[in-house]
Amino acid sequence: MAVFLVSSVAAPPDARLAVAGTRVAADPPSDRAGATGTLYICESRLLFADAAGCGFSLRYQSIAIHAVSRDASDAPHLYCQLDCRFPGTPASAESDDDDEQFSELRFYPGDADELDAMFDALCACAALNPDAGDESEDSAGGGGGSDNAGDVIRQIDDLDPSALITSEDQLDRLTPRGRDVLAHLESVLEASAESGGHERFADADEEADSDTDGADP
Amino acid sequence: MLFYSFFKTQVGQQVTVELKNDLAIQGVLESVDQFLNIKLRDIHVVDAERYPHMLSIKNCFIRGSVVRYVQLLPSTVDTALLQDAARREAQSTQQMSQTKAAAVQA
Repeated sequence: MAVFLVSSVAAPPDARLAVAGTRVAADPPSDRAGATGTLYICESRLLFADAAGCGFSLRYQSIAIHAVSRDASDAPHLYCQLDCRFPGTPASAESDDDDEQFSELRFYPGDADELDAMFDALCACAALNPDAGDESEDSAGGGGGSDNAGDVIRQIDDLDPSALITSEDQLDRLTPRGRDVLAHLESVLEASAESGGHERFADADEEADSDTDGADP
Repeated sequence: MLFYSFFKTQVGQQVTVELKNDLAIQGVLESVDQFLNIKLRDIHVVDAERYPHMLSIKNCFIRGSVVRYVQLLPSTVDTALLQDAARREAQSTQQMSQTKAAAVQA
């Protein structure tokens, strides 16, 4: 459910716009709407709270369309069509609405001049909240058969970056057999290092001059 | 990104956006973003009788994820060019994901 009913609200810190004196109406009618309060258009969610702090919080992912409505037949308002059912609405008698699961909200600000600012703020915040599914589709190129690619790309994001840098073996992804092989190789390397000492890797000049093992010239 | 670029070329054209809930809205494409969120102006609802509540709306913002189709005027679209671009984008995306898959499985 992308609409949360709240019973105590403090002014949110990420509010782009706060419009006091806003009346909200829902269609199908809801017992949770119809109050007058403050609409907070926040970067993370849409929040409406009346004087008592009761209201609702709405995720942008549920807002299918929003628009400014100016018409003689109704007071100027911000129209939002949701793709989910607004809580508190009675089960609709029309089967169409039940199947489609969509409802409408209208916000009537005290001052109609605020409408354009409200619309712009909603556009900006909706753009800040894309669907999670959309992002993975984009990076995988979308279309059928891209699910595997999407999964792969998510795995890449989860990987420790250092695992991808140079090692062909993907050290932290080794199978038990792989780990055995690595341990064996490492032991071979250690053994060869011990037997040769630093002399094996010393510069040619130093080797020719030195009489003792590993001593500084 | 291909269709984002493509829709940017359609800005100013008349389009009809059909949503997943069957609502169809005709209007002039005002803007589009990378998530294919669409802003339309001078809209009118195609089946107005079914959706009387949107009569008084002139401009709207439609979330990209609720769009089912965007109907365009054929004269404004070079389909051969679009097909070609889509094919190239699909190929490059496939190559990219294959490379990444190989890196993970190595």
